Amino acid sequence: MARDWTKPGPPVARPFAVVSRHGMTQGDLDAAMARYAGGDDSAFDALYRLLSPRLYAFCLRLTRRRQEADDLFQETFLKLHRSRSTFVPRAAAIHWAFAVARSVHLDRVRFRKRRPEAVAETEEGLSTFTSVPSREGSPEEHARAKELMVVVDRVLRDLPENQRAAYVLIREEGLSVSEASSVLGATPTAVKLRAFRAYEAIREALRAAGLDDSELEK
Amino acid sequence: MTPVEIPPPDALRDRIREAVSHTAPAGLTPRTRAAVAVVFILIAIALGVALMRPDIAALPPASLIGVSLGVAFLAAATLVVALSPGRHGLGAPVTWLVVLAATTAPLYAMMTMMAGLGTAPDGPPVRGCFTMSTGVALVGLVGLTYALHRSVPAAAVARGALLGACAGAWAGLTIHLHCPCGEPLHILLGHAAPIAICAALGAVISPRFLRP
Repeated sequence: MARDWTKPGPPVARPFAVVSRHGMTQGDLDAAMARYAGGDDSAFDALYRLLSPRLYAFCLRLTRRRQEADDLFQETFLKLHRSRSTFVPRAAAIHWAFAVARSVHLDRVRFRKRRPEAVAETEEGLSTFTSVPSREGSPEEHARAKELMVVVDRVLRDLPENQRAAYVLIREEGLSVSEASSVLGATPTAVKLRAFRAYEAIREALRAAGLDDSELEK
Repeated sequence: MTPVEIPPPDALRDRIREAVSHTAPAGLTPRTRAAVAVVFILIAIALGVALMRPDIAALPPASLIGVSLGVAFLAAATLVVALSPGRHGLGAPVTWLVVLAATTAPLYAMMTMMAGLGTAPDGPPVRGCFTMSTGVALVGLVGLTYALHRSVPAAAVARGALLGACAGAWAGLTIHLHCPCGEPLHILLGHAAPIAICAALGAVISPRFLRP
């Protein structure tokens, strides 16, 4: 039976992920954000520590280039700081941060469309998760996972921005369709469709590369 | 499941710390800003009451009150949805925003035309009503955009459109209390069109002020 791809699956980049190295919980992050939104500057360090690993990974996925991800991440944090008083205390801080990051990213994309000469895409700059070392599994598993990651990374890179964002939020970040639609400012149906198209494109690419597409589910 | 986590470079943290220390955060809370928006709306209503149509005493009270409350309810509904933090703190679902923004002007036109409260077929010129309604709506749109300044990271275009429709609906209430003309064309062009125009302006201009 085909898997329900709208349900959050294990992250594609799992072999390269740093799993909760800070023992982060959603509650800790939301509490830190609520303190920071209330004007407590001393909450910045806790907020940065708890928020940055997931936010930086998201920025990398959006931009596909390390240098740009750094800039997007920095700008996002500045915007979070500047508009911190508008954070709704009962909301999930990570969703808010993702929404701000995507908003900043779209602004940058629009700016680049007006000034295309400002962008020079290089192969070196395109690598994202493939350059992050693995910490678990046998060498064979690692090699297979890395091969899979290269394909996934390449497909995601070539996808339209809205499909990539929907896929990353649902499949890699584990957001529900409803949460992802709030972050992306689109209808749940549209988000489902975008994630589905991205998922199908990845499966197709894995099959073409002779890889088992069921690996994607693991 | 475990979300993907990649720590950013340490140097980035120091850069951000430095940049944050030189950037002043917004001072006003959303509640204060919402209060500012309500003040703008109260001004619009007060304007309508102050410039009330001369034939008000001759109108059937049930129809007058019914339509006025209907328009006020429509405007209040757009306001509540536009300012709502939504289930995830990122605003109301985009479907609500779009549907409400698109239907406010037709609903307003339908309500005011069906009431048949016109007593002066040759009332004030369309241009006068259009100018007054658009002017009040623009003031309202500025107030509402200020209320949500830098606080809408997602669906800013749809939210801007609804803010415009909301401002237009409050201006529509003002003009409904002001103008005695009941001609369908006059109502469409002079009273309802500014709502649609304001919604379009909200969709085009407001997002750049609404995004963080």
